[in-house]
Amino acid sequence: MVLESALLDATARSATPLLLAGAGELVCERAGVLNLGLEGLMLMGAASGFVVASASGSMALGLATAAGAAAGLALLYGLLTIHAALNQVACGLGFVMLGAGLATVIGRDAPGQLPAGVSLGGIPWLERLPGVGHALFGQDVIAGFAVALVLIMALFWRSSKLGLWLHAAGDAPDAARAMGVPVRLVRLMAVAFGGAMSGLSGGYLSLIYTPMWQEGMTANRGWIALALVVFAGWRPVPLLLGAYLFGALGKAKEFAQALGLAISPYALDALPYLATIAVLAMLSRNRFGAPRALARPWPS
Amino acid sequence: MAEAAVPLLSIRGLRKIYGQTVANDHIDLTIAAGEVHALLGENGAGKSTLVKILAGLTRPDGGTLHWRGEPVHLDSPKTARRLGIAVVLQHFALCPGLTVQENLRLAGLDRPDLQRFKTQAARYGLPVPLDSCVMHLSASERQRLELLRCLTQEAQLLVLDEPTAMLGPAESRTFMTLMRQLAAEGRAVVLITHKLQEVLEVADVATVLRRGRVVGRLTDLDAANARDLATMMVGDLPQLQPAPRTPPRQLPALTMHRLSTAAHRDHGVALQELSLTVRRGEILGIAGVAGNGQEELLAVLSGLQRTSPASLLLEDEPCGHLGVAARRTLGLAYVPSDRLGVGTVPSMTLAENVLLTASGMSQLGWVRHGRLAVRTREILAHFHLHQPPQTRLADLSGGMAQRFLVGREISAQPKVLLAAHPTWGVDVRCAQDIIAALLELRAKGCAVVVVSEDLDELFALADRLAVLYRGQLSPAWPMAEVDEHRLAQAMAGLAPTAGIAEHHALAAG
Ligand SMILES: Nc1ncnc2c1ncn2[C@@H]1O[C@H](COP(=O)(O)OP(=O)(O)OP(=O)(O)O)[C@@H](O)[C@H]1O
Ligand SMILES: [Mg+2]
Repeated sequence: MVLESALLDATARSATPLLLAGAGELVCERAGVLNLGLEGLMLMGAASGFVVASASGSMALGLATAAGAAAGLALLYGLLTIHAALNQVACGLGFVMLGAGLATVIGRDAPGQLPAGVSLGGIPWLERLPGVGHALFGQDVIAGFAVALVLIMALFWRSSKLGLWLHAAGDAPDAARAMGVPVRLVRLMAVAFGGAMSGLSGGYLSLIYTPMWQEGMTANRGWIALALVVFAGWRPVPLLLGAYLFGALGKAKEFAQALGLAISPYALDALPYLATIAVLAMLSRNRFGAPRALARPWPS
Repeated sequence: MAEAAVPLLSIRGLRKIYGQTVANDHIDLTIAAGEVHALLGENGAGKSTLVKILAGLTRPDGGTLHWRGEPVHLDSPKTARRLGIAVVLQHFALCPGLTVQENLRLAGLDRPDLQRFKTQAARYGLPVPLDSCVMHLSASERQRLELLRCLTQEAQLLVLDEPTAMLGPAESRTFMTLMRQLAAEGRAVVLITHKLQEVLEVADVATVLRRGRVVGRLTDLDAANARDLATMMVGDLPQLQPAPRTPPRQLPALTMHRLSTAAHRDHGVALQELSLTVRRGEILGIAGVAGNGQEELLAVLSGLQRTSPASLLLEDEPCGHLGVAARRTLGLAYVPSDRLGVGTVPSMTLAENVLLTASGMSQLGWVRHGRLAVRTREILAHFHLHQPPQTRLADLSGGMAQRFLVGREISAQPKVLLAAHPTWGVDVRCAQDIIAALLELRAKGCAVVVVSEDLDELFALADRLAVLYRGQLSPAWPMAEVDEHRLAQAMAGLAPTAGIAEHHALAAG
């Protein structure tokens, strides 16, 4: 029981950063903007969050900074790609480097470790929820927040005005504009939201998951989150499942050990990749889902 | 017209310039509450430009607008809507990936509006599949949806850009009645159309544009007739010489043999065992109310959707399993209903759009630009388009885009031409040109299949006419035996199919 619970905790921890960044990117791509710069934004969040948290001793302030700094950088990306209509692929790749560079500068004099006492507790009453309660709410509110966020997104996905605006902006911006949707504003807000979520994801890594700051510490999680959005067919609930599936597969070795299975560790290491292929094959049968105007400059 | 003193909308000196083109040149227009105001003019006259300005989509380069006497700036679609202006754009404003209902909500219909929309659709027998994705609707169904949406929006001014261009006569008449009702309630309607009969039926006033200028106004439409209006729009029309029709040759050009398809998951009609032969040198018309399988039939004939090889023959080559490109090499050309998007790539230039379908335009993978330019100019000249080949397709007016598309497909010198409402949105003169061009193709031995809801178009072209109803095709009647009444019955599914078959057998025997 203790073991299972520990494994669930571990899964939730490795899934949360993917889920946060993925949720942000999902919204952003639904509005028609491809932001390849996730990795850079996450690093930016990780570094700035860590520096502020260790200086102020406040975890909450650190996380807020992580989200805010990345959102600011994402806004810049939005202005360049939406308003100046720069190429989104080229610009996004540029932002990976820009984010990483800024993070290096910011984190240059960061202490090796968070000062003792800087932590974020769980939510006491939700923690006792049977089954997943401890995994989601026991260690930190962020894991619970990520799941709740995606569930709320699913609830409003196509039934709220905001959700429809998002879909319309990414599906047919010309028609959307004619119907009175402020396409540019919707896109810009979506990009900023995406940035905030990847920043938070980075902050989660440097303040809760590891916790420490190190260059390149996001270890390509930004790219995985980007792929997850595609796997999920641009829908929130599959994104949630996908993030937890990938989180669990990343902990496959621990699972196998815990269950006493004698499986080659190499095979286990290959699992996430095999899963990727399987999921891709399954999803390629469903060709709908990609926002029609994704990554296209508008007005054309 | 008690409120005539303060008109609902008055436009003074409106100007809009696109590069070299003056699309609207000092337009003065007054629209009073309670009137249906027809806005007429040849292709490229500037009608849609004016509509986009009224919709708040395009900023004018000069001129003033007064709404109930107050000066207004229509700087966004929201402003226009808030004033009470509802618009149907020529190429619609619909998000293809969202459902009909979601689109209606985006367009600002709240719950009571939606309810009214449903009641109206039901009352007038205009089916709209609320939960289908818009991308599965045919152009005609989209048109119906947009028009119905606009009529239920409780706007003060309705601006309708060719709203009935693809609808059948019964449906158009329903909408005309609805427009008159709205006018009687004190609202105003601006109606753009190339169908002059409609103008005579519903409009109180007509304004004619040519090359961006107002060139005529008619307030006494009772006395006018369609020919006068046509002359005002496009100048003197040559009397159309009915071309002597040689009888079709006996060789089959396109054969459907028990052609069936399954219905799409959430929308669409299953085609049920269609069997028909179109001979060389023959024009077959397929009539029917939108949404009875037209889109499915076009998809399966053009190769966008594949079936079993033997269910479709081009000449005597089984081709049901072939895709679009392979069928093109066999001599099939296609004018789809969705001219922007399926028919062409709007963001590309005219020359590039020719390149996409033409053969012999490249050598070792390199584009032969000289040849391409020559071919493009030929196509443009054929239907009197004066744009250079480097123009973006999206910058053409609706009717001009249609001319280009038809011209491109005809220039492929096909053995079989498949055309969905080939004269959609072209002016009277150009409609004559397109009809003449299709008859010329026929005379050369090409088989033409015209799928349309517009009976005038079908009557002008077809040698035989079949009706599509709920995925079933009636036998093809020779035109001599078709009258509007029987056709209307078949289109409503009222004619007993067996009776038709019997009748056909008698006629053939
Ligand atoms: N975005 C644009 N860029 C450049 N030129 C344009 C643009 N939109 C329209 N034009 C040009 O302005 C002129 C008027 O176009 P408009 O669409 O208003 O014509 P229309 O009267 O609606 O014609 P139709 O009956 O064919 O729909 C045309 O010459 C067209 O090529
Ligand atoms: Mg037009």
